[in-house]
Amino acid sequence: MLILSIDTATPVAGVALVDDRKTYYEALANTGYKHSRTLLEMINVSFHQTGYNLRDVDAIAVTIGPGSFTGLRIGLATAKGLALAADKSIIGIPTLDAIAHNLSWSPDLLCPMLNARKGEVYTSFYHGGRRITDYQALSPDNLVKTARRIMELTGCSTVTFLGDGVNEYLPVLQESLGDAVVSLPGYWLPRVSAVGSLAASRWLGGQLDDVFSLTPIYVRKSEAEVRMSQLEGEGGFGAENQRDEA
Amino acid sequence: MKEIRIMGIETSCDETAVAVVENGHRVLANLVSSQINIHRRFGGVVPEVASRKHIEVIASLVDEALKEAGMTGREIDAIAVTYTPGLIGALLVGVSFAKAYAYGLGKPLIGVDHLEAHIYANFLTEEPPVFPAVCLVVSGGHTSLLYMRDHRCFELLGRTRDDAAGEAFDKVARFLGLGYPGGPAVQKAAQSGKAGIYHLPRVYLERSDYEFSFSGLKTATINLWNKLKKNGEEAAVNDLAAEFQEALVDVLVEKTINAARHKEVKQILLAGGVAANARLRERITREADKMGTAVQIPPPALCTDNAAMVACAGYYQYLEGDFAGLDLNAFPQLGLAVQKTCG
Repeated sequence: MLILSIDTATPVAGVALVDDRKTYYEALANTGYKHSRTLLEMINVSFHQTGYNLRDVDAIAVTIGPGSFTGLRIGLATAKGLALAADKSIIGIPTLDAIAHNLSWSPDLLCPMLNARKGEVYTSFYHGGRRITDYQALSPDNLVKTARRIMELTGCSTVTFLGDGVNEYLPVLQESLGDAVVSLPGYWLPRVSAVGSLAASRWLGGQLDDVFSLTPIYVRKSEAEVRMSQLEGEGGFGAENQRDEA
Repeated sequence: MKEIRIMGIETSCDETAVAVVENGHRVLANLVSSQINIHRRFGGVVPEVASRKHIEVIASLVDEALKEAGMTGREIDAIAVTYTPGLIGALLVGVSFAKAYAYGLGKPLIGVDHLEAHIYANFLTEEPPVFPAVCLVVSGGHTSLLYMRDHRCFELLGRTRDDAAGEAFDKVARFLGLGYPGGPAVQKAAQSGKAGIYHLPRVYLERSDYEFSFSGLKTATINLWNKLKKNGEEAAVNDLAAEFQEALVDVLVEKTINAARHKEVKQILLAGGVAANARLRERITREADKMGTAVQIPPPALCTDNAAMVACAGYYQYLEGDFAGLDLNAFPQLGLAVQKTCG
């Protein structure tokens, strides 16, 4: 079994070739949003380096969010193109699941968080190797409230925060949650090999996605839709919607 | 001779489109998944909403196009995709998909300029236009007059200084409450109205160059409407729509005819969404007939965004060996073709 795993949900682009036991190749490019230019070349290099080629692959794994809207679509469009051309299976892996998988051995309460801009993070909570909340976009205040509630429910006395949202919000979290906050440097980045390893389990369990209908988990509506639902009935809706979002 | 089959992929704005075209003119499949009904409630195209829709439908559309063409991906000779100009997030869906699809099939990838593709909609016929030609590209994003000496050989004669013609249609339609998209809405209203009842300016018509300006016409239309209302007059929206359309068409036709005469061309080409406008088609055909110059205008369905035109433009790039690499990126406003001169 061989999984080609790709991730462009955050400023870090990643490509890996893995199976259920081993990572054969993994490359991360923490170079910001240049994914549309670099991703396919990274994939090509992964094959050159390992001697594998696309024909050897059983499934294409891709992070499907939450994350940068455009980044998610670059990854998913690439995965769909490869899967359709080479008649391969596709497996979408939620970005936060992959980050939590970095610490899948931990009995603690895990909270991966990705910078979602607009003063929020994309987050969900994991305990005992399982996700226990929805994927959501939360302000630091609401994150603290949710963390307190879940610590109470699970009886955990600490929360381990992971992901690139930690960079920005660690001081705020420490201020409110004090010693309950654990953050592990080095486990912050999404690892595309973890995406592949989750996909390998899914492949073995026969849990594949449909190449035609697989869509990103955006969590948020587009700004225009949000404003539309606010303004519906009031009229006065125009050109201010017509710009690109992240 | 071996048949050359190109798949075209187009996601630059609010239409997801996939086509298969043989030898540059024989359309084997031409599918368009329009988002007009989704964007109508916003009064215009919302980029993020458009991008979300593209990723939802692109794989199915490719599959359906191949079925309609009666072939597999392996029988396609190259993948052509629009990479500029357009909405960046929307373009990136098509470009990312096309790159991976071409790579997966082991076929060449061709990056196509959307404006060049609009022009090449004129070549989707067994009797292609002749050179040299003057080409008017009029759409929601562009209004340019080009001299085309040969295949892929363009000289920009002039373009709009502000709004594109289609943009003016959209804005005036929205203001007059005629609906979305603006071009068909204004045309429909104008058909039951009469030009000349009101008077609107023919902007830049007095100038001998090939520059256009439509922002002033839009403002004049809005001001006239407001003035009529303020004076308590019953403004006839259909007559105003007819006069607006006539003012815009007057300028487009006269500048195009002047350019054709000045450049001594054998052929006039129209391209872009506004080329679907019935009044523009009728007027330019009549004026060109008078001077004995041939006119070619794609059928309306090939004037608006589609992928057959992308495949056709891609075919001529294929013949030249003009292929893209794995690092092909999308650019919102490059518009390479219209700047290019050659020979």
